[in-house]
Amino acid sequence: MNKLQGILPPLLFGAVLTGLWQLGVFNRIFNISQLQLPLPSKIIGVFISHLTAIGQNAVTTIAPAAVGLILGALLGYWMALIIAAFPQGGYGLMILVTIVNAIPIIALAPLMNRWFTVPFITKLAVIMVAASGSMTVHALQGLKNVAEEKLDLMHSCAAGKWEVFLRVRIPNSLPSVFSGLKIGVSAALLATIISEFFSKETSGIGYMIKHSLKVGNQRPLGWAYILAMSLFSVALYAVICILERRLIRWHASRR
Amino acid sequence: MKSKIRRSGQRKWAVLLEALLVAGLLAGCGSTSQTAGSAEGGSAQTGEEGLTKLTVQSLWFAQGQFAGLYVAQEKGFYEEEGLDVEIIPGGTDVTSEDQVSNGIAQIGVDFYSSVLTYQDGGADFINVFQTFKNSPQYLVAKADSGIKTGADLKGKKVGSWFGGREYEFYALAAKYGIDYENEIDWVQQDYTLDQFNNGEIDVASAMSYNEYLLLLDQYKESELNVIDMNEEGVSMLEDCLFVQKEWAEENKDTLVKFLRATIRGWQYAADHPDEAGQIVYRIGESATEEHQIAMTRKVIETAVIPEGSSREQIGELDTARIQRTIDQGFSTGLISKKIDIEDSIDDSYWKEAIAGLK
Repeated sequence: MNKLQGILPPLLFGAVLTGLWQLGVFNRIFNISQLQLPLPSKIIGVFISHLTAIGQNAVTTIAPAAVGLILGALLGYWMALIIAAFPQGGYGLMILVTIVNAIPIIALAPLMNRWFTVPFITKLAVIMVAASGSMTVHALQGLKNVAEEKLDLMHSCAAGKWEVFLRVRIPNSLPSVFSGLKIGVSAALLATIISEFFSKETSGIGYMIKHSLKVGNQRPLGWAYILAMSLFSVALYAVICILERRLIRWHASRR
Repeated sequence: MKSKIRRSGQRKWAVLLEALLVAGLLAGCGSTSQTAGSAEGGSAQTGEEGLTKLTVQSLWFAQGQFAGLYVAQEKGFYEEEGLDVEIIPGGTDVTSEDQVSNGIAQIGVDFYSSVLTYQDGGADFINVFQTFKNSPQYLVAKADSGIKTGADLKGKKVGSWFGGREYEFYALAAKYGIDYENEIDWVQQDYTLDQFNNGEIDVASAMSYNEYLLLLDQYKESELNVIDMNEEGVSMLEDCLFVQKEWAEENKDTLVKFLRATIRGWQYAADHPDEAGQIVYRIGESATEEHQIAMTRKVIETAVIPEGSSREQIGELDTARIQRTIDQGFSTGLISKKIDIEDSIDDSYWKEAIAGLK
C-alpha cells in the first residue's frame, strides 16, 4: 500500500505528459510539426515493427556499455583503494582522477576513434573513463568515513593497517560502491552513445539515432531508438538496485 | 495513517497543479513565439530602408558550393530587388528543413533527395529552384586497388556520410546485383579524408567540387579511380532551394525576386569565379582561398551550368531528372511512396524569375 502511494504520483505525472503528447499538445505549444516531434503512438508502432533490428543494434551498444561499466568501476575502485591506502601520494592521484573526469566525453570520443581501430575497444576506453571517476569519488568516501568506534575496536584488538582495510574499510565502502555504480550507469550509456556518434561503425543505437534523425521520414525510427535506450538505461539501473538489495542487506542505510 | 493518506493526496494535487502551471507557462511562451514567427515568416516584413527581410538556411559552411547566394548578397543583387537577405550557415547537425519549418528561415538549401524524405513524412515543402543539375557525389578508390565500377564494391570497405547521403550508393550496388546490406562493409566516414589516406577504407565518398579537389592535392589524377554517379546512371539531385508551399503562395513576388537575384549571383560567379571564390572565403574562412576558387569553378562547371546547359537554365526544374530522383528514391527505400511530382516541385516561380531577367 505504501509502495503504491510512492509510485503513483510519478506514474500519474508520466501518464498525463504522455497523454498530452499523444493529443498533439506539445506540437501545438512549441509550434512544431509531427515530423519534428512524432506522437507516442507512432513511435511505439515503429518500435514494435523494428523490434528485431533494434535488438541487433542494442547488442552492439549494450555489450561494450556493460563491459565498460564493470571495467571502469573496477578501475575506479582500484584507484580509490590506492588513494585511501597511501594518503600522501594518493592526493596527487585524486587530482589526476578529477582532471580526467572533467574531460568532456564529446571531446574524448573522436580522439579515441583515432587511437584505436576496433570500435568495441574505442567504446570501452571512452566508457571506462566516464564510469571510473564517479566510482573513485564514491568509493573513497566509503573507505574513509568509517565510524570511530569501529576503528577503536580494531585498534584494541591490535589489528594492523591492512586488517582494518580488509575487515572495516572495504565492507564500509560497499554502499557507496553502489552509489558510484548508479551514477556510472547513466555516464556509461551516455558515453557509449556519444562514442557511436563519432564511430566508424554503421550499427548501434547511437549510430541509428544520429542517422535516423537526419532523414525526414525516418525520424520516428530515431525516436524508437531513443525509447529503446531509455528502457535499457532503466533496466541496467534496476539490475544494480536489485544487486544492491541482495548484496548489502545488512547495511543500516538500506530502506 | 489517515493523515498520511491525506498528505499524499494533497501532494498528488500539487503535482497536477504544477503540471498545469508548467503547461500554461509553455503555452504562453509558445503563443508569443508563434506570433513573432508569423510576423517574420508569414507576410514579408519590411525593415529599414523599405527592404524585405528574408532568411536563407544554408546546408553547410560558407563555401564555393553556395557561391551564387553569397555573390548575390555581396554584390547587392538582393538589395536591388528590395530584399535584405541573411544567409545562415549550416553545420553537421543543423537541418535546413527544421529551420524552415520552425520559421527561423523562409528559404532552405538542401539536397532534393533529402527534401523528398520530408515530403514523404508529410511536410508541405516545395522545391522551387534546382541549383545542381546532377549529383556531384563521387566514390573514390586508389588506382592500385583495382576498384573501377560499382561492380567492384562487393566485400569492400566503403565510406559514406550517411544521414540520407548513402542512397545513391545503394542504387549503384543494386544495379550490379550486390546485396548492399550484407555484401558491402559500410563505414561512417568523418569529414576528413584520413580514413582513406591511411587505408582504413577502400572507397571514400567525395564531392567532386570539394573532397575530390583536396585529394588531388595529395594524389595524381592517375592514382585515383573515380566512380561517377551520373555516369553510372544512379544520380539523385542534390542542392536545391525549397520553401513552405503556403509561404510561397503568400509571398510570390518576394520569392520571384529572390530567385532572380540568385540566378544573377550564379551568373556573376560563372563570369568571375576568382572574385566569387574570394567572397565565400572572406565570409566562411574555410580551407584556403585557392580551394574556394577551385570549388566555385568546379561547382559551376559540373553542377550549376554543366555541359549542354545554358546560363538561362540556372535553377531550372528539369522534370525528367526530378522524376528519376523520385523513382530511385522509391526503389532504394529512401521514400515510402512515389511522390507526385506536382506535389514536390513548383517551377512557376523560377519561370517568372528567369523571364524577368531577359
